[in-house]
This record gives sequence, C-alpha cells and structure tokens, in this order.
Amino acid sequence: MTLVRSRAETWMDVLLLGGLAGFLGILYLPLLVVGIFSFNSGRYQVLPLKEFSVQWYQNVWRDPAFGEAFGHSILVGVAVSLTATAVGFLGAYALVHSHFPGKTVLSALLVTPIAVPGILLGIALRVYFFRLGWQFSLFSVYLGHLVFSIPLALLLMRSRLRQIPKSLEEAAWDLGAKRWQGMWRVVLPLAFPAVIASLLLTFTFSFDEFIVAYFLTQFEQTLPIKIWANLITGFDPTVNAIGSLIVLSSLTLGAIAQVSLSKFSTRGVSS
Amino acid sequence: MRAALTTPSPSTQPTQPMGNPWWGLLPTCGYLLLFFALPVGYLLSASFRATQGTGLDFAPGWTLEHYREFFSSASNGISYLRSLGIALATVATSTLLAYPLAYALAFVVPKSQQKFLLFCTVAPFWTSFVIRSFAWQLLLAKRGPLNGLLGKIGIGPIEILYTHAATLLGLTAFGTMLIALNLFAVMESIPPNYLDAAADLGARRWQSFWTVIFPLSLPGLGIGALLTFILAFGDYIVPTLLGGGLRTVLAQAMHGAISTSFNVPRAATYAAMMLATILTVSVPVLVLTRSRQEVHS
Repeated sequence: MTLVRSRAETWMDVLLLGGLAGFLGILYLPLLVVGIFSFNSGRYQVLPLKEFSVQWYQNVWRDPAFGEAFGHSILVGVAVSLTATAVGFLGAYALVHSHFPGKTVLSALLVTPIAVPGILLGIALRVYFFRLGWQFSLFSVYLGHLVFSIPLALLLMRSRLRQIPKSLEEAAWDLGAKRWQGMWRVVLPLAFPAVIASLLLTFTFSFDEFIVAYFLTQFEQTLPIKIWANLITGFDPTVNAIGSLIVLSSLTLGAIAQVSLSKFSTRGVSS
Repeated sequence: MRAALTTPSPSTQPTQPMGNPWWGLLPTCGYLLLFFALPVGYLLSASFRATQGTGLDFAPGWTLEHYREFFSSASNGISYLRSLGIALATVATSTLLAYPLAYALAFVVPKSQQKFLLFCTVAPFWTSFVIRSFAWQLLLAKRGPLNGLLGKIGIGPIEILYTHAATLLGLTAFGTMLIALNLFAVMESIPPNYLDAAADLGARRWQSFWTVIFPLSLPGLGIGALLTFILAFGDYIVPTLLGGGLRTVLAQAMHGAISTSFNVPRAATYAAMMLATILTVSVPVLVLTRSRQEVHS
C-alpha cells in the first residue's frame, strides 16, 4: 500500500495490536487458570497454590462415571456428525443444482434451527417426545442434536459445492455416469475438505452441547451433563482436569478443521 | 461457431439428462419438519391451552390466560427485561470491542501472521461452552485468582461473581469473537484500491475508516450482532454459572417452569415471548443487511 503513516498513526497501530493481544489474553486466561488448578493438590480453588499433583487426572481415570459419560458423548457425536454430514451433503447438492419456486424462502427456513436458542429447542423436543410417549435416552439426544447439526452441515457444504464447476459433473454424465455416480465419484471427492470440516464441526458441537441433551436424556449422561451436575452440586476439582483435557482436544480438532477448510483456497478447482 | 468446435459426443446422451435433483432436500426437509417445526409448533400451541391436572393433560378449548398472567406478573416482566437488557448490553459492548479487533486483524497485523491470529481468535469457539463459563467462574470467584491479585495490589476483593456484570463479561467474550469474525470477513473483502483512492484524496486513516470501511462493514455487523443478540437473549448456561440463580433471566424462568412443576403452558408462554422477540429483532436486521449488500454488489 502506498499509505504514508504519520507518527500518530504508527502509535495507533501499536495500540491496536496491544488491544488484540489483550483480548486474546482475556480469552485464554480463564482456560489457563483451569489448567493450572488442575495440577493443584488443594481441594479449594484459592490462591496460593498447594503442591503439584496429578491426582485429579487420576480421578478422571478412576471414576467410571466420567468414562461412561465420555463414551456416551463420543457415541452421540460420531452418530450425529455422520448423519448430519450425509443428509447435509444431499441437501446442499440439491440446493446448488436445482431450481424450483420458493427456493430462496426454503433455504432461509432451513437455517432457522441455528437461530433458535438451545433451551427452547430442548424444551420443545422434551414436550414433543413426552407427548409421543417416547423414552428419553441417548437416542433422543441424537435426534435433538441433528436438528441444529443438519443445517450447519448443509451451510458448510453448500458454500463448497457452489465453487465446483458444473462442467466437471456434466463431463462425467457425458461419459455415461448416472446421477449418483457423478455425485459419488466427482462431486464428493472435490467437496472432501468441506466434508471433513463438517464432520469435525458437527461432532464438536454435539460433543460440547449441554442444554438440549440435558432435557432429552434421563439416565445416560453425556459429558457436559456430568460436568454440569458436578458444578451445581458441590464442586469437585476433578472437573478442572477433565476441563483441561477437553479444551486441549477441542483445540486440536479445531486446528485440524481449520487446516482442512483452508484447503478450500489452495487445493481449489475454481474455473 | 460453437457447434463447430464441440467434439461429437456419444450423441445418444444429452448433456443434462438428469433433471432437477430436488429430491436431495427431502431428508433435510422431512427431518426438520418432524423434529423442529412440529415440536416448536406444538410447544407454542400449548401456550394457549389450560392445564387440567399436570403435564400435557389439557382442558378442552383455547385460552389467553397464560399471556394475561405473563403480562400482569411483575417477576415475569422483570425476568424478560433482564434478558433483553443483558442481550442489548452484550451486543453494544461486543460491537465496541469487535471493531478495533477486526480492524487490527484485517489491516494492521502482518499478512504472514494473519491466519494464525485469526485461528487464535476462533479457537475458543471450539471448546465447550460449559467449560468456558466455568473457567470464568473459577477466575472471578470471591477467593479466586483475580481477587487474590487485586488484594495484593490493594484494590481489594470485588464481588463480581453471581452478578449481572459477570454474566455480561462471559457473554461479551463470546459476542466479541462472533462480531469480530463477521466484521473481519467483510473488511477483508474490501478491495485495497478503495483505501488507496481514499488516501490519494487525502483521507487520514480515521477518515478512511469512517467513510469507506465502516459503511461497507455494516452487513457484517448486522449478522454478527444478530447472532450475538440471540445467543445472549436465550442463554441459560452463563446466567446460571456466572450470574447465579437468584435474579432469574427468561431462560431460567423457562427452565424452572419445566423442571420444577412441568407446567408446559407456562414454559410455552415464555418460549413464545422469546421467539417473538428474536423474530422482531431479526426481520428488520436481515432486511437491512440484505438491502445493503445489494447496494454494494
């Protein structure tokens, strides 16, 4: 840029960068505090710190309730991410490749589940399932999580599918491919980064989701519900350890998704 | 000309033999109809029913009784206004913080660092909302690290946990990220020659911000602020963990109506008020955002 910066503007830059650093500091400080306390032997969350200890991590390992809740969350998360990504892919494909009256309105309506507060969705589904006489279980949590995961997957994949030139699929048709063959062997591989991003994002959303799951399960707790119960009924420092583990693994998954999403621009097929 | 150039294809097959693949939307639409539209619709309809006994045992006929009750009870009104106030305050503070943040990310940081810093800003999105809120709880506690530090420098312990200020803090951290991301996306797409042109015409930095960047950033602000409003208005987790359970917000009142007495019509009335408010805010914001985008594209 040809901008010549005056002295005042250079100071402005320094101030802005300082603000950015400060904000990032504030975002990560609480997480850091959890990490520090997770290695603190004291039972109470107060300064000064006591000795270094890994006893809370050992607790996570020993307490079968945590392991069980973790397993439930993984199970629901994997099922939700696979289903939502498959359904979202089909929906995104249809939205990009077809024309029908009311398409704009429909695509706006399909996104609304994301804009409805979780507590409202949770209560609505609880009442609905109750009315239908269904049991509350991990399966109802799965059904509940799909409501916001499908639109999420659909949005992610629609923006990728729009970038893929239609001529590539048409070429496959010319060579005799059926519709599903073109989808499976041409479109899906080209949309691969978005598929990975969608799998990871919907998994994380489901894995971390609390309030919908809270209203839809009865005996089988998911991890956020277990943590919540622990927070509400008398604090146990084991939560610090499990919290740190979750933060670390979420950040790793986030980094992977970011890398795979950024392949949008590098491994592109833009015409 | 074009016909001459095309190679003869296996001509029995036209290029587009497949028709509209609209059927791909069937699973999505079917699912959302069954597990979103119907449940929400049923819940809203319950707000017009009278209870008979408990749960879903409704008396025949329809009534406005629950709405009359909602508007005549002071505690309901206060919960509602608290939620609205917290949501508006969150949007306002987040917007003020998000602008310098997005500006720094888009125009000040070196390009080589931009991706990494952007990731650092987004990354907390990926960690559990419950854990992030609980982390704030730990930091702000009466005898926690923040007050320990404040005590050492003599400002003394402050009672911030279990107040609306703590709720606002927790929600603003999230809202700032959300708005800054949306602002960054629009700021980054501003062609650099717009700014060069402004500079050539003698605009100082703040002038080019107000006259070029700010007007172009409004669609991003609209979407980011709307998402933040919805999140802050409907959230249950932060007000409970950081705000405490005493001065209830709308989401907590809704939770109470279901889990303490399973009073479905009452919870449904709260839900209807929540949805009506979100709709009232969303429609004008989305219409304005859309019209602005059209003007500029």
